[in-house]
Amino acid sequence: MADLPLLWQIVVTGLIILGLVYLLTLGISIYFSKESDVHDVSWDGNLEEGPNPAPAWWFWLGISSAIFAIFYMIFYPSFGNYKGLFEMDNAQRYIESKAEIKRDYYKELEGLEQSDTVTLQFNADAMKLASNIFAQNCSTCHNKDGVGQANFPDLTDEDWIWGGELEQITQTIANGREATMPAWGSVLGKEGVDSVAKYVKSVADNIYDEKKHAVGKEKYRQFCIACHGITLQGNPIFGAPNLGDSVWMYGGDLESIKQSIASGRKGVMPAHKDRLTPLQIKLLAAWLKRNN
Amino acid sequence: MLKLHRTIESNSALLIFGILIVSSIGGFVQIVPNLFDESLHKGTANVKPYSALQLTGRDIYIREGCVGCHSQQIRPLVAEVMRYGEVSVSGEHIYDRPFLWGSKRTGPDLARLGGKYSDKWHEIHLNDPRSVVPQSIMPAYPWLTKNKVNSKDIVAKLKLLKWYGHPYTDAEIKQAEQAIDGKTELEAMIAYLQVLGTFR
Repeated sequence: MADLPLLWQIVVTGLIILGLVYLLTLGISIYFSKESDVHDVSWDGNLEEGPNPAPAWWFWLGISSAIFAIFYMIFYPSFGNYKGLFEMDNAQRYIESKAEIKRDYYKELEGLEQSDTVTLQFNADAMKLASNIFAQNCSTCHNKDGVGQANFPDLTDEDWIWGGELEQITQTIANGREATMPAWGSVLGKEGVDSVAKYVKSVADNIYDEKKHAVGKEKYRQFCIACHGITLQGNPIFGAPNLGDSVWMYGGDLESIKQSIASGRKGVMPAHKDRLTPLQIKLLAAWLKRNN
Repeated sequence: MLKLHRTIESNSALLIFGILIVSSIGGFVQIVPNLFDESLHKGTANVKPYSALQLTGRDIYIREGCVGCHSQQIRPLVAEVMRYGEVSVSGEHIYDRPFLWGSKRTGPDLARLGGKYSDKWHEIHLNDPRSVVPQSIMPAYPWLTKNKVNSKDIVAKLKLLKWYGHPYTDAEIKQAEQAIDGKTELEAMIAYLQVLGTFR
């Protein structure tokens, strides 16, 4: 917030001082007045009020709070841009406390910046830190300790959709990933989807039959191998998962596979480079790689 | 002084008037100077008015009472910044009418939610929060998936906002109805959630 313009400073300060002066003068004049001065009040010409002064503690509380206010306004920011004798500045305090956090809370991070990944992986404190970072930022989707859940990949197995090299994992965390499995429903038709799904499932389940799945295999080779490869091994460049293993992110039953083929899948890993520091990303990558 | 005070005390109309003046001073000195503070009205570099779909999602957010449990303001306290992200500034909210800062945090603050999760996550989460966050106490909103958005009044809404000074082009207003026609409430809601906090 910008500083208050001079005019407003005068208005605000004037109103505060006016109110205070009024209260104090009133208090003093009540204190020094004769009883009849204060209580000689008549309502509607015939209703009179007897002398019933406010309790002394109440009166003095009012006066002392006004006096307290004077000292408060001298020491703390009260008038426009006046900072007070204590020079309290919330914006400044926020900046200072941020630096304080950096100094105290991240003390454990000291030196980690320079160490390489392998050293980090053998550093128990660093790995504890990494698992906390994961719990706070990643586990909502990837589940506790990264074991994954429906629609969100398991990060503890050997199966990496976008590549399991340190470089690739770092890239995935920092810049995010967007998978684009197109919807093949209209191209393949209902039967085509069915046959391809059956073929893929047969390979994954190791029950492939030359005769039974020939149609699906042919359709697969026509439409799917560009990304998923001839042996269904997948391709981390496109984020095309390995279909030949028994790891299924969107479900491995026939219905789920059919739906994946017919409607496509658009898995998105959000970019985290603005949410996590480079060191935090480095720690996460090292931790994930270690758990592998 | 005492005489003036007695005059006020013995005249009820004057007394009411005096009370009104005194009690409005507090509001006056806190609120009115801000109305003339240009720095509070200037938008941030990235601030944009909500698209038709996002605006529709925003209205659903209001309808479902999300603001009752979720705030949208990150205060300059270190603990909050570490948990939710950068401090909220007024310039991000110049196209929020009314603003949805909220004051209750039964659920987490949503001021920097945009881009944190994928659309798919939001879809699953809004339909069944506990399937992705087991300890969540958020109610499920399954009807968002079924309901289609009401596209009838979007043009009127945009026109009103334009009258307020939100820079919508005529083309945007003309295409608004078409842009959201046939979309589900869920899609609108996710579009709104994904733009939260990206105006920094």
